[in-house]
Amino acid sequence: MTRRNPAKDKIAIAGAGLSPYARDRGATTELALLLEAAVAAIHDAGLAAADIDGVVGGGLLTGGIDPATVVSALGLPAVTWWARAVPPVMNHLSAAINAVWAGACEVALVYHSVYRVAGFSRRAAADPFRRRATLGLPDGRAATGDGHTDAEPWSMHGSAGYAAWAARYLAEYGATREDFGRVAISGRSNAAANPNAVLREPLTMPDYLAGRMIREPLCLYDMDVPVDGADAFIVTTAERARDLPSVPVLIHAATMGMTAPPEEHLAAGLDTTGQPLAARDLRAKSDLWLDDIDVFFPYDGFTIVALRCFETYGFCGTGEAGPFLADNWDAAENRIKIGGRVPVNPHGGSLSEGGSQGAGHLREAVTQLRGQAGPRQVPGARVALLTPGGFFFNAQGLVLRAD
Amino acid sequence: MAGPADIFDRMPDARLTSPEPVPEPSDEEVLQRFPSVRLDHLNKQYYKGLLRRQLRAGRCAQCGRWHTPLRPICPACWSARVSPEPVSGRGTVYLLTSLHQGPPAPGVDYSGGFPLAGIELAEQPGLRVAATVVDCPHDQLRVGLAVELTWIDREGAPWPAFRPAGLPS
Repeated sequence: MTRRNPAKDKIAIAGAGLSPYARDRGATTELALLLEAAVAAIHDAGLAAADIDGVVGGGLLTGGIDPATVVSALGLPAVTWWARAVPPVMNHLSAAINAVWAGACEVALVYHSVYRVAGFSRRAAADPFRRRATLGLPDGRAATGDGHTDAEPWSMHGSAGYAAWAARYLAEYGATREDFGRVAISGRSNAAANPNAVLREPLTMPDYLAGRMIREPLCLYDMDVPVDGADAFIVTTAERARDLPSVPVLIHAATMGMTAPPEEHLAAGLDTTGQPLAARDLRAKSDLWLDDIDVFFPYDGFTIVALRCFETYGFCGTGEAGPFLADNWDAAENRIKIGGRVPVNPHGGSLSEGGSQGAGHLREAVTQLRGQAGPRQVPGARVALLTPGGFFFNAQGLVLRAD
Repeated sequence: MAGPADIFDRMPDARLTSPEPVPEPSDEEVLQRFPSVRLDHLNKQYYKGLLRRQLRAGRCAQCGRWHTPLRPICPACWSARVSPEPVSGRGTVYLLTSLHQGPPAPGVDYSGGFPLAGIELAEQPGLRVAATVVDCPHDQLRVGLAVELTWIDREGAPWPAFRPAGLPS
C-alpha cells in the first residue's frame, strides 16, 4: 500500500539550535532557554529575523511559550503564519512542513522547550518561581482535556498508564525487565560521547535491576530524565535550503497516528493504538524503510515505548523485541546495533540525554545526517528513522535523508 | 431535534439509582465537595453520582452502548440520546501498576506501592475506569482479578475504589 506524499523530499530542515540540557539550569526562564535555541538555529541557517515568516512551537509542562511571545521577544518584523503545538516535537515539525509546503510561509522557526516544574522534580519544586510555572489546577491535575483531568495517583494519564501497559506486556509475552533494561543500558552507553547528555556514567544490568522502583514495573532507569533545555529548527523548502550555508536535511516522509479511544486506560490493545498506525502510515509514505536506514531513533520517554517501536515498525513481531535486542546486542560497545550496523539513539535518547519530547532525537538525527556528530558520528549516515511520541494520543513517525 | 446540550442537566434513570433516598446533589454542593476538580456542566453528573455512592458511565439510548468518561454524544453512533447511568460495580483488573512515589495526596501511602488499576467493567468489553484497589494483599494483585466497587474517602468526599470480589462486607 502507498499513501499520497506530495511533499516528499521537497521540504528541508535548514538549521538547528540548542540551549544545552542540564538537570537544573537554575534561576532562568523557559523563554530564555527557548530564545537561546532559536537564535542559534537562525544563525546556523545563515538567516536573520526578517527571513523568518513562520513560527510554531510549544512545550508541555508549563503549557509552553506562545508564538506571539517568541515573535515579540525576537523582534520578528513580518510573520505570516504561526501555530501553537503540543509536544511531542513532530506536532511542531509536521505543522511547519505543511505550512511551508502549502505556502503559508517560506521559512518557519520551530521551537520546543522543557522547563522543570514542581511535580516533575523535587529541586524544581523548591523554586517558588517554578511552582508558579506549573500548568493546570493548583493540586497538579492536568489541564490537557476531558478524560485527562485527574492526576496521579488517581488516573492513568501519562507515566502510570505506560507502567500499567508495561506490566501487561510483561505478562502477555513472557518478557522480562532485562528486556527493558537493554534499552536503558544502550542509551547510556551512547550518551557517553554526547556532551549534551546529562547522564553519561555507564549503566550495567545489575545497576538497572537494582534501580529504585517508581511505577511497577518501571524503575528509575525506565523513565526519561527531567531537564531544562530547548531546541529549535529552521524548516523551509529544499530549494531554499540548498542556497543557505548550512547542510540541509530532507523530510522524506512524516506522519502521526491516533486511534479511538486514545486514553491510556481505555486503549483496546497495544496493536491497535496510534503507534502501529503511525508505523503503517509512514511505511506507506516512504520509499526508504528498515533496510535503508543508517540510524534509528525510537522514542524512549519510557523503555517500553522504545521496545515496542522495534515491533510496531516491523523489525520483529509483537512480543519479540526482547529477544531481538539480545540478538542485536553489540557486547563490545555495550549497546544495540541492528544487524551489527545500525545504532539506536546515538545521543543517548531521552533516558540519558534528557527528556525533551523527541526534540533531542530530531536534533541528533539532523546532526548525524549532516555528518557533524564528531566522535559519535555514524559512518556514512544518509537515512534516519524517527518515531517520536508514545503509544496512544501522540504517536509520530519521520524519515529524514541527507540531500 | 435533540442537541448535545440537552443532556447536561438530565438526571439518571430513577429506577437505577441506589435504594436509599439520597437526593441528587445540587450544583452548589458538588462544587463545594470537589473544590479542586475541573468540574463542568457534563462531568458534574459523574461527581454528583459519587456523592450518592454511584459510579456512573454514559449510556446511549439509541444503540445501548456504554462509554467512559461521560461524553456529549455517543462515541459509537453519535446519538445525542446519552445519559449517565450507574454501573453494577462488577469488573476485572485489566491494567495494573503500583506507584512507589507520586505527588503528595491525602490518604495515599506510596511506601508499600499504591495500586492503580484499569478496571474493565462487567457491562461491556472495553468499558473501563481507573481506580485504586483496596483490601487486597500486594502479592495477590494481578491482571484478571475479579473485583467489585467499594468506596473510599478522598479529601472528604466519597471516591470509587475496587476490592476483590466476594469478600465479606
